[in-house]
Amino acid sequence: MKKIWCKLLILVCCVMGLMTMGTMNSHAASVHHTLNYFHYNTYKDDDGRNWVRIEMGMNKDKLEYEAGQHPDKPHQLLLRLKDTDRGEVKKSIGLDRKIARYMNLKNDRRDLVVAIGVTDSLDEHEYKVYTAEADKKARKPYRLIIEIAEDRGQTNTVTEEELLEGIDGRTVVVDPGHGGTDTGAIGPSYVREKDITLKISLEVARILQANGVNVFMTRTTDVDVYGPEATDTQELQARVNVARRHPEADIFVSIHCNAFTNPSARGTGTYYYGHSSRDSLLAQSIQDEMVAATGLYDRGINSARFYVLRNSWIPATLVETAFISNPYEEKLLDSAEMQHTMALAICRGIRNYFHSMG
Amino acid sequence: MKITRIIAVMMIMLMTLALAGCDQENKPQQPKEAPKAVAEQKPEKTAEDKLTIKLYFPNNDATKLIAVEKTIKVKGEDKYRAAVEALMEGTDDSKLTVVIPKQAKLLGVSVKGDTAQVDFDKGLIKHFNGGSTGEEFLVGSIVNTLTEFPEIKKVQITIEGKRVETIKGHMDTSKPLSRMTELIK
Repeated sequence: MKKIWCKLLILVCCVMGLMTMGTMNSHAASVHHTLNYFHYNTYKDDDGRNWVRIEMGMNKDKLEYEAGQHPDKPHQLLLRLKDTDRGEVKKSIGLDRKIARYMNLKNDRRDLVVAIGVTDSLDEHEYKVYTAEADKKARKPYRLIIEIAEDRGQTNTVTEEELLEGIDGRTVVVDPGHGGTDTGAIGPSYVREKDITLKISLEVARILQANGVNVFMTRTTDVDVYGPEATDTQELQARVNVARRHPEADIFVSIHCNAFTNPSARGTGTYYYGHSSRDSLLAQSIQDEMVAATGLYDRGINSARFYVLRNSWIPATLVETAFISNPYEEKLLDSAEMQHTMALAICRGIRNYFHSMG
Repeated sequence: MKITRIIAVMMIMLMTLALAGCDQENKPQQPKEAPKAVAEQKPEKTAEDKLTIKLYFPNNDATKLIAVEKTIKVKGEDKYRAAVEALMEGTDDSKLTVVIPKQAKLLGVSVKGDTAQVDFDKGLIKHFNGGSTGEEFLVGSIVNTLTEFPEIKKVQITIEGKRVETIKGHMDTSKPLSRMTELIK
């Protein structure tokens, strides 16, 4: 009982404290940029692709901004304009509806947050965000310009061997093992697990996306997923949470390199925990393709108490591509050709899994 | 302006007090969590005892654990610790690999109920290269060696007295592990 009161007190204090802080903030110096111009139009580029172009003008130049996919809403392009006020521009603006649907503007403390809803997942659209200087002839002020294309253009096309049918619209979480402060295992020639897992995972994501799969990655660069000071559980749970944040996610695939004290250990193996038969089916589907594509020694599928597998709510598997501690396999893992071969094999395994699930 | 600032400061002070209050309430529970239980092992004889035990080592391919019989001398110290020490000493069999890093120090083995707690220093993690297979066989060799004693059903690995969620980022070692029969086959 005493605990509940304690918590309540903290909550009330937090809210009131924040409120007072908020009023203090709004009294602080006024923001630097204020919007004073808005314009949008559609156009066709030289390749005949349709684009929507949005211009947001403002009173001063040197705007700082961030742009990217909304972390939880894949259909939104999210922009944060630092030190900017919405001014007289409307809160909500309807757009062309074929490429971009709407645009919401919201003041967030000193920044302006702009969310642009696009028709498909943002990964399906090529987009550019840049600033343009004031154009006196055209009577346009300094602007932030956003251009969104109807498709993703030539940036991600598949070769014939990468064409995987029947997986369009599925959602896959890809987890490149280790990263940041955690190098993972290190090979005899100092090849680091975290670098190889990221390269293979990015290739897996590229192939899947090109085949219409919605991909979420736990990391896309060399970072700790939770943070450099995290405990092991925080770090591993953060990876699991990426899937939990996306209820539409069908499967979780973690990609690793194996290691053992003795350099003679070799081969490719896939792990599952076994909440349901789907876990072992997913593991076996990937294992079969990995063995067929790489010709490596088949270690088979094994059930194991691995954190990311045990705590996953969706079918999950951990692929141990090859032994980085084995000099021969370390060389293989380090080659772009083998990374591609393995990525494609993993994607084919994923496709086979989805096919057998119907 | 001044008033709002004063209110803000007061609120923060109140928050700190409230937090501190909750903290104190939680504190007394902690010592119960970390029992420094010394094995309730009563050596029946003060003289040297000879004991033949099974130690588990992975083969060089890391495809399975192989049992190696060894006769150890148990003096005053308990047999569980002696078994882990024998495992760390390794084997002459060139077909087998010793997975526990040489730099790791065994701090103690204690038994509570059917669970053995094996405590290492940080060297176990620091000097271990990792890999799913490496980690599985490291943990498996310890767990399977200790569960050879019929009274031990589970093994908890700790680092300097604390439970660790994982040794190298794969296996969940936060809870006691039962015998890993899948590695013996």
